Amino acid sequence: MKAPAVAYDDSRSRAREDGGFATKRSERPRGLDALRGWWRRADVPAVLLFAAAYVLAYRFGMAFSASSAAPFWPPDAVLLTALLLSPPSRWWILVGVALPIRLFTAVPAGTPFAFLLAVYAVDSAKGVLAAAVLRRVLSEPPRITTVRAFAVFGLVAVLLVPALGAVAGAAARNTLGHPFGASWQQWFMGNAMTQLVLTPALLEMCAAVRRPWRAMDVRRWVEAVLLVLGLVLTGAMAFNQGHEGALVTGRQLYAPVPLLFWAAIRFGMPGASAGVLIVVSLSMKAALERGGAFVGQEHDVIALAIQQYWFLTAAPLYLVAVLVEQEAEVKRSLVESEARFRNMADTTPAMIWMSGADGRRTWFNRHWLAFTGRRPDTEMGEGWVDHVHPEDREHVVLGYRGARDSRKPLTIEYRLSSEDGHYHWVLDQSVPRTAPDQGVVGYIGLCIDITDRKRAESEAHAHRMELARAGRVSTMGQLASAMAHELNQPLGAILRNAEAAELILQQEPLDLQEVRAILSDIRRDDQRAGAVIDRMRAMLKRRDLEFEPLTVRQLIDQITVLLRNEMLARRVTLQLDIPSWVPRVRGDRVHLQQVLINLLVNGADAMDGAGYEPRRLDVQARLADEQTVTVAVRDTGPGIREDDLSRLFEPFFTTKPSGMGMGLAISKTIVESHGGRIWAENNAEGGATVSFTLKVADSRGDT
Amino acid sequence: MSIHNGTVYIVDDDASFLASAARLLRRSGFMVEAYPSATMFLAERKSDAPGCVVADLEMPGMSGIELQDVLARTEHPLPIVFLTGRGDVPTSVAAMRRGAEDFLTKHAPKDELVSAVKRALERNEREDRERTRRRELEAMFARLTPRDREVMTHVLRGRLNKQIAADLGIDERSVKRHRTNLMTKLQVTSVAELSHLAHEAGIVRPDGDEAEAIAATPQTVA
Repeated sequence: MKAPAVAYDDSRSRAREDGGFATKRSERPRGLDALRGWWRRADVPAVLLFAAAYVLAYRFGMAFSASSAAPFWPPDAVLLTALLLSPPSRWWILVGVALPIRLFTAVPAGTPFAFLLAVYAVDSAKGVLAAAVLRRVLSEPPRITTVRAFAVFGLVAVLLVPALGAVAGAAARNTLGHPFGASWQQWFMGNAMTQLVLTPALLEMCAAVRRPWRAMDVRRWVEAVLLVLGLVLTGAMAFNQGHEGALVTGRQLYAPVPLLFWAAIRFGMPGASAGVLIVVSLSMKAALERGGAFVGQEHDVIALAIQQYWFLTAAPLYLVAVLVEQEAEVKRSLVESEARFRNMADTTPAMIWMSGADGRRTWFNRHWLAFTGRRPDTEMGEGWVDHVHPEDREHVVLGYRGARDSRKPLTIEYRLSSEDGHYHWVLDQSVPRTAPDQGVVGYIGLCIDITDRKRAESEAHAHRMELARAGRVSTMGQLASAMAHELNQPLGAILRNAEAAELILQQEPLDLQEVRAILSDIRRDDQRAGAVIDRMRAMLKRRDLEFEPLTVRQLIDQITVLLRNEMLARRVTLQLDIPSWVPRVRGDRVHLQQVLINLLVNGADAMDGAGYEPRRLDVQARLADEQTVTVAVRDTGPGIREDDLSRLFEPFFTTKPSGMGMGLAISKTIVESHGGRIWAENNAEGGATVSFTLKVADSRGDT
Repeated sequence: MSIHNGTVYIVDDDASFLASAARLLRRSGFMVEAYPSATMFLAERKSDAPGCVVADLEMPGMSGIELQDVLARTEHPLPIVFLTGRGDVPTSVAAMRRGAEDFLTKHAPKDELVSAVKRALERNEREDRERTRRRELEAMFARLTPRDREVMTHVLRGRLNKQIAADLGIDERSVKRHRTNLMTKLQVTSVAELSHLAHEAGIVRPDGDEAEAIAATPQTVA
């Protein structure tokens, strides 16, 4: 199925080479080389071929009576064909070659030299004029295969130019004594008919010769041979048999017509052209011999009959052939574009698939099959799903179904088993295919292997987790005393209660009610201590991000319990400004609390020195835009040196004597893994503010 | 059933610990009042009631140390036993330097807590007594005229009447009269007694040289 495209391209490129000779004049070779170069440039064989054809056509044209204009004037068709096949820069050669032929061959005795020159000039002008117009319309190689080309050809080469030429020709004949009106009509009719019938056929023949040989199957061959036989037979029947008056009454003249249309419909322009040439030559032979249908007819009558016959036959015949060609061209370009797509899809280093409207896969490119090591028949339909990793299968199937229902593009990642038996991560991006009037007719998807990227990502993720954990541990170090205090409260209460109970047990009367109250208090304090330990463990635990919708208030409330004593010991007041209309954010509770703890402890550290009273930490939450909540932690400390502002979030950057310099770096990592950003600035009224953004939780729920 | 004179005021913002500590001290025989914050305690305390304070060191609002400062400035300061969740050395040093009775962790042994509270209550009683006596002495000395006081200063230095008269530029009889007046007002009969009382009232520094001088005076007079 690729052949047409290739053939087309070849013929085009060759045509360009032919036409390009005029530009190859950059050097001037000498001697034999010069001769060879000239030979090649002038394309001498082609010129000789033209000359031979022209001589033949001229003699044939002149074979009709010299007493009137020729009813059939092939030289015009030969010249126009040759001109259309040559670049304009070579037209002078062709026109020049025609001159001696016109002057010295088959000249009827007594024709004035001036008349011959005039007629030659008129014919040459006609040819050049028609060629100049037509070459703008016809593609390369010049063939009449579209309705537009046919219309322009008919208007210019068949009607306009012959009409103009006939004026000049009739004027020339008028000088020889022929009446102008009759001469014009004869001249015009002869020229027009020849152009209509012969030029498309000649162009077709030349194109066929230049076209590379294409294999035709046996049945087509048989059909073609039958057609030729039929045309020869019916043509002979139409024109070579007959009796006097057959031309006027003979219905057998139309015997070849059905076969001509058959040829046109089945073989397009080449078929129509070949058929026309066969029947034309038969009709001309009969006309020249005045035999068959033309027995006993006058020259004028024969000419008119032939002209009418061919006008009426050739015009619709070529039109049908052109329509067939156009249709074939549409099909060819479809096939070609399909082939081009397949070719491209097969050579792309990505896996490509297509599905139909029902979502079932209908096609996989070569790369997919090579990657998965499977045959198309096992992959078609739903077969390919079997090779998706079992854990990803549901996700993939639901993903495609959802996209199909909503007719949206889909980007999805999943693991696909490859030929080597290992699962590879692929990124599959698919878009709906649409057809005019049909909407979505399926999907086309492109997959790339992202295993390496995935591995790098997961390594980076593990690295981030490790850092976050390290940060938690170091912050936990700073918080250890606060945690100890937090534990000492309930533990102290338990001890005191136990001691009180011991005393009660030694006293009379035994106050059982008080003992019960004490036991209940002990249990409550024990749970309190347990909760403290759970919190600590949760913070130390190594875990992945778990996103959930959270309120900033929840986040801060849980850590103020942890930080309460730390803040008290450092004489820091914590003030919260978190309006209830600030929406929930999407985030990992423990990690975000880690960030808040880092910022609060940093703020408290900053205010440790003297002179920053009252020591205040303000936590403020605001809705920055529809999608973003900003949380700001503001202190009343000394602020941050301008030089340090930019380096604040770098790992191991610290201004504290005992700091590791990881707190803010880790906070940055955490915030960024939540899709937010974090920054620090100095307050106009003193102190610093560190702010970070979080994404608003999706109201439809969160995954 | 109280065996101690005075109330134990417990101040702690942790309700659970406050309740348990109050319970224990009550069962240990103390009169106990519990307050969730220092400001509440200060607002409700009777200023002359005897007792001691057991306070958490770290509290929101007024801290334990601040409470200690406020109490120290009142007419009847109460001894404080500090409790803390953490064994924070610098803070405890500061607290002790300001006169805290003790500094205990929240889960210190019961006996330590009870004995610290006992010591604090005893100290409160002692200091109370001392404060009362000092006020009596001050009242007695306040009855002296300025001339009485001048004469007394010289007497305490062991000067003779004649010398005092010369020093003050008055005659010897006047000196004798002032001497009799002040001995009467201070209810003492000898210079030795006067010297003792002056020491107790803190009018004379317990200086070695002066003490000798004072000790020698009665013999000279006799």
